[in-house]
Amino acid sequence: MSLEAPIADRDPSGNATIADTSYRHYEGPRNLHSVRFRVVALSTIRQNVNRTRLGFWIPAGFILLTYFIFGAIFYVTQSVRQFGVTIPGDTGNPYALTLYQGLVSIDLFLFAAALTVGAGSIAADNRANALLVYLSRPLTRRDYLLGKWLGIFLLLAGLSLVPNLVMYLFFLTAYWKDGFSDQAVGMFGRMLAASLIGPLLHTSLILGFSAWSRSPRLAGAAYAGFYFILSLASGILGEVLLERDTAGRMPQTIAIVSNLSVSGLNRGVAQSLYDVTPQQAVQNFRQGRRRIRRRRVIQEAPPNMPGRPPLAPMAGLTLAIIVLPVGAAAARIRAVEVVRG
Amino acid sequence: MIVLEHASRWYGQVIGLNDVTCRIGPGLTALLGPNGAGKSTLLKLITGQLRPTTGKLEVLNERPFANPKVLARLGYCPEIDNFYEEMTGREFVTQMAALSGFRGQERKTRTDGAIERVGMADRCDRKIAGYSKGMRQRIKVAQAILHEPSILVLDEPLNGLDPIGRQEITDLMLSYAAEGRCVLISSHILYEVEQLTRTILLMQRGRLLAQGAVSAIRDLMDRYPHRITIETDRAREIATELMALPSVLGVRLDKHEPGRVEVETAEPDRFYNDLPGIVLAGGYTVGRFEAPDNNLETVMRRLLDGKAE
Amino acid sequence: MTALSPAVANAENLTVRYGPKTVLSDLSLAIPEGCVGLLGPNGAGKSTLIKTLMGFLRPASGRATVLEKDTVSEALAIRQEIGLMPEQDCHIPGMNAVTFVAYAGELSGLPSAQALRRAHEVLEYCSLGEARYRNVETYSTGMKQRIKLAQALVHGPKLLFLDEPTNGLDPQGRDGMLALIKDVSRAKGLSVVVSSHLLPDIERTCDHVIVMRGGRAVRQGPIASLRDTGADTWEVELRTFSAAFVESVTRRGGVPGFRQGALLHFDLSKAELPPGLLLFQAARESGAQIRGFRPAQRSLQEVFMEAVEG
Repeated sequence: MSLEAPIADRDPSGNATIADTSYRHYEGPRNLHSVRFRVVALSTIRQNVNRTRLGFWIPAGFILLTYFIFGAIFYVTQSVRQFGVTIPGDTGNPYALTLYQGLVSIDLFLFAAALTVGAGSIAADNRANALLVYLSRPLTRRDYLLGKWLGIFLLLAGLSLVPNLVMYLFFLTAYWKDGFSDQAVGMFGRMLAASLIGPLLHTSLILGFSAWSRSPRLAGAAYAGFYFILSLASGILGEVLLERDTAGRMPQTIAIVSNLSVSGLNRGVAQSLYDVTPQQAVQNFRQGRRRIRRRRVIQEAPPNMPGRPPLAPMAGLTLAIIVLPVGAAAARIRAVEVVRG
Repeated sequence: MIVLEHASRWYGQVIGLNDVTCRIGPGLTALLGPNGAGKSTLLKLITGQLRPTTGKLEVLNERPFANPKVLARLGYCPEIDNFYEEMTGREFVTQMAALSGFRGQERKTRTDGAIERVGMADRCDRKIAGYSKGMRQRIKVAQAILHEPSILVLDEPLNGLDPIGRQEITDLMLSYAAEGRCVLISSHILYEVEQLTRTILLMQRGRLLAQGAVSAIRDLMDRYPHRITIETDRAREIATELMALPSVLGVRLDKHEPGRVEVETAEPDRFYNDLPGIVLAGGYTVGRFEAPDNNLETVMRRLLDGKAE
Repeated sequence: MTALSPAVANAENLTVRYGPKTVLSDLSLAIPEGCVGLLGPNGAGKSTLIKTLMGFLRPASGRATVLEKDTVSEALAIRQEIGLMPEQDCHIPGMNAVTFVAYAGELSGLPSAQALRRAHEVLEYCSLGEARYRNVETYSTGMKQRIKLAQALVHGPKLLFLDEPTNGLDPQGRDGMLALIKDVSRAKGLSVVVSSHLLPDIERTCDHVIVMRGGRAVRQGPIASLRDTGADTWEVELRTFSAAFVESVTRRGGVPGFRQGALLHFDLSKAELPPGLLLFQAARESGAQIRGFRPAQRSLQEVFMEAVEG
């Protein structure tokens, strides 16, 4: 048995320390160049990809549903075709047409998601005076804008690309032997390009509207107004011109005019990328619906409607709509006073 | 001029003012208290924007709520900073003068006079959107004084002003109070309040904690003995002698400052009378001697902390 | 008086134009280590100076350096090592305090794990306890000020700019904020520049003062030397004013000066007795009650007024 005093009773004037838990200097790593806009982009994404962001997940759900429905229609149609039934009026590339229809149908949902993700992106910052916090860091205005844009774009691109990729893979796996193998590579490129037009347009536009507002709701409402009114106006104008142009002398102009809206530009460029015409799309869809309902197929001439617009002006306009709002946003941000006098 | 008797005001369940009784007369009175204490509620009641839920409130012997007769003799300079930004300063004050019922030449005279008095005469023709915080503050004061009110209520009047501006507006308030008008200001800047007035109203959590002259309040606080600091050469010696005085409750020496003695007494008068005798008899060299606790800040802190227990 | 310690920021013949106006003209100053107060009337150019030092404004002529880096060529590197606590309310919307401060840290280059750790440390230091998990938009004025300080400290800057740090705070909050500033500059060795209109705040926290007027620095130096009156003036507080007391002091060689109520100033340089004895003798003789006396110092207010009006 040890007769040494237990540890607790030994000489108390030994070593003891009281930690200083107040402010310490930071001696850790610091990256100057490699972060910046990426941090902003990641923050935007993180803020939106959480459970409660219904305004993002509900459109996402609808987008997936839409593509699923079109995939189902395609499947049924192809099955019918396999039995040798020729459907009169069946024109165009069915794969391209299905992808195109999917694309066109989800634009509204992309718009809704853009509103959720983008309306407050800069508008809320304006209201909270956040730019003061950003710019007092090693961040330039360009980093800020690029980061915001990238954050919104990546989210919307995800919404658009995922269902498209799934459908592409469906074609790839199920119809490889049925003729898809020849088009596989080309179709991939076209699908990629086409599915990004919508996100590009929506991102730039909502960012522009958001930068010029101090209220997310107002920015969203302004963009919604812009989107719908332009859609309506271009459609009506296109119809009016079509009525007037009985001689059929300006099909291209009519085609351009009736596609002068956000969804229209998306449609117009996609038509060129997928090499489909609006008439084919309508017919295909109608035929598809008829097939599902198992009615007797009647060949029908497509009704009087505008044709496919030429690529060059559409692409040009699209590019303008992508670049100009960002420029406007940049101008607005530049005007913000940091450390007000 | 302003009378409250058991006035209370609540918003749903939240209590804004709880059973407040006080009288505010001519001269300068300061309204103090932490944020959320009920100061803005009290000011809103006095300026006729709210009605008390219970109790009596009279300003110039009438109820102020939506009462043009009272409001015509009352000037209010609020804390919030909202203006019609496209107007110039002059236009804004003119508009306020028009709303007060002045017409024609009198309106112009009053506007010019008010603008002159707040020191904005050279800058009042620019749009308010381009004004600095100090300039906006001055315009607010201008619209409060243009009708020569008997009661002037100012909420954080020196906000945003540089030291020169603070001096100017302080002088303005003092001259108003000297003319016999009632000036009520709410401020957080205690050292300025100390220089302006000795009459205070201290609020906490909707209740009126203390009112009256600061020194009188201090005398009432006998829970806290007066602490007096003396800097001298032979600290321990004088400490021993002071301890022998009946008025002294305690003396304290500081390990880090060997020349300093801190004395505690509940009878400051007696102590101050006895001290010269001791110093001169003992031949002590006294370098500094002061009672740092008798300022407004310490009084306020003690009062507020005491109630928080 | 030249500062013996190296300056954390320098301006050499700095001229800065803001649109058509020349706001800073041929400004030369050195901001020493420690806590420096930046004073000046509205329009003197204080915010323009801060903007230039942070690299937002390009000088028309002259140069400015912060932490030995030029503000024009290395603006981003400077901003990584300084912190700004702005006067206006600002925050990143939709975040709680921890997320906000951690995000601010990440924006300054901290890796995200470090940023989170630092955020908690700094929030603890600024006394934001459980409230740190609440959305910043629900905060009171005092908490908002502390958050602004926290986001300025999170990345461990070497120089802090504080613009009106006690704005809107009640006396208790003001006390807390000034104690924080003092602790950060004295005990932790951070250099701090405080710009404020509340001169007693500056008196309490700063060792050095720079007074600006019309785009130039009209006074710079340690507070103590600026406030030194040079002469042997003493401030005496009586219980009530007593002419007999003034007489007694005068008879012993004192010269009465400024007077405000019961507060009297005396020049005792010509007297033979040490001030303490003289004053107590005069008190006993005249029957007045002295409630305190100390060497008079010019208040910073006087220094300021004299600097900008002289």
